Amino acid sequence: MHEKKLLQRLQDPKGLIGLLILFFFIMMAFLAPMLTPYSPSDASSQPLLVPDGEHPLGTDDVGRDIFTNLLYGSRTSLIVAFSVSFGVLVIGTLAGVFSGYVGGNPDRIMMRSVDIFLMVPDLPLILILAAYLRPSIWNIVFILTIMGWPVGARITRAQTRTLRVSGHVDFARVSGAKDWYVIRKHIVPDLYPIMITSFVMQSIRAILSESGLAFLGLGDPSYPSWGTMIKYAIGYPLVFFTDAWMWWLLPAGICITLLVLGFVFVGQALEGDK
Amino acid sequence: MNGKELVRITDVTKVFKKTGFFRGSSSVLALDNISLSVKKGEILGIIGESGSGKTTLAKLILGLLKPTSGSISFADVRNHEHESRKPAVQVIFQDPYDSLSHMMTIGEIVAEPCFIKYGRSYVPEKVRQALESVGLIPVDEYLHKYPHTLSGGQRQRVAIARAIVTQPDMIIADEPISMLDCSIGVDILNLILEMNEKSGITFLFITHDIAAATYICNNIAVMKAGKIVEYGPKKQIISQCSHEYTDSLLASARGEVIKNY
Repeated sequence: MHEKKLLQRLQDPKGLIGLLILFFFIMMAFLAPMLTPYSPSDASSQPLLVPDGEHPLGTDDVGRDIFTNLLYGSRTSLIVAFSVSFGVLVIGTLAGVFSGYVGGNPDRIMMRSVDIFLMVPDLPLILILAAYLRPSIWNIVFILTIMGWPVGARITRAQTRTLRVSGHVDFARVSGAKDWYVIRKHIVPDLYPIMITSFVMQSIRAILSESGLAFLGLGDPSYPSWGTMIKYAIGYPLVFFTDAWMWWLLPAGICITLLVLGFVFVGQALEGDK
Repeated sequence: MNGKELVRITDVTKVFKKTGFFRGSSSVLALDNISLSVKKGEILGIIGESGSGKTTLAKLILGLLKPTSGSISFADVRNHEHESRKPAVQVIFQDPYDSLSHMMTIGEIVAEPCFIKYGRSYVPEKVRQALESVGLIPVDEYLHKYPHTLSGGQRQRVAIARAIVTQPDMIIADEPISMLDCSIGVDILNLILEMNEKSGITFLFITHDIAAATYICNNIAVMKAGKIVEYGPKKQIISQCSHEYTDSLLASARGEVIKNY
């Protein structure tokens, strides 16, 4: 019933706009090689070209095509967003359901360690780890997942605990159901709405964190990223004295904003906000 | 245990302990040395106020809780092939809004006990029969509905249908009518009586409503503060009760049902 309800909720204008934006960026990521003849690291063009037919958004200061970088940047953002939110979802749900269902001492130990994770300030730790680990996109995914799962675990645990003592779970147990059956049939289906919402939330967090890290120079240099583009654009001294910011700086910023907006709209539609 | 008994509860005590890290521990005595036996085919009423341990007793019999001390033993029942087995116990909970999973259709909910017991090879016809026997007719109209589209009385009928679908020997009804309107409550009581008469299912009927208990029960046990203060056939409890708590219960209900007896 909830799945149906969730899909129905997505059908209001906000959800549709959000889905449309997400679909747009996913297509952009998939079709990038077909939409542009250049590779994102190809620095063979003239530097600082003004937009024309060959370079729809011009080139940057080392002669890379900005449009190409923008297209491939969506891949990086989406890969990070989906891997982090998927990782948080799996680890958080497993930990939360286990902790809430078993209860007692395992639950206490688990929740205290979650508390410790929640206590650690996110951003400084991400910065430090990103600086010390090799600058790779999978390290960023790893760090964001490690910092994100306790939130997921907390939420699913709370829901699991209320479900565990509800009448339909008791009834299934009286009928002879094993723990695994109860979890699969009575607890996890009830967690779908929470899981989807936390998936959206974690995606937003991952996109913003990845761009932020890339902007600070802690990103993966082999993956073109919107954050890196903004960093280079701002780092170029003359960007605001010419019109270059309009096609160099602005598109990357707009892309980040739009993608996050798409996720926010989907999230709000799923929560039933009008 | 003689041949007539189905469940015997001997000296059962249940203590709920609460251990805190810093505050030390406190404990609540929910059941205090209770002995009771349920006879085959009867409807045994358990009456008591809130917090008197009725539901705890039900959960102990269902195996959802373990007794702190004492024992609960089940008599073997014989089926038609003359093999003896342990009796199957099912339950109807108080709150029909909490006890049905809102993610499942009525058909899935009623089929669930069969599914758990027999796997995928259960007989779908039994689900239809169960729904028919609780008066949810036409069955096809209900099979694919979700619980939130039903009224409280209909939900409680679904809860009864899924309790009887595996043909249990005993059903524990834990305040099945306390959250329903009076008129619907009487329908449910009649349904329980009918199940008892037709299928010979033993009922343990837990309630705080002595009028409802006198309407359907053969024997009545009165509980107060974790103890059984009075036990006997219905007529004896009504006409010559010995405990002041029973007296006060009767006094509050007098004028409605009692004048029939």
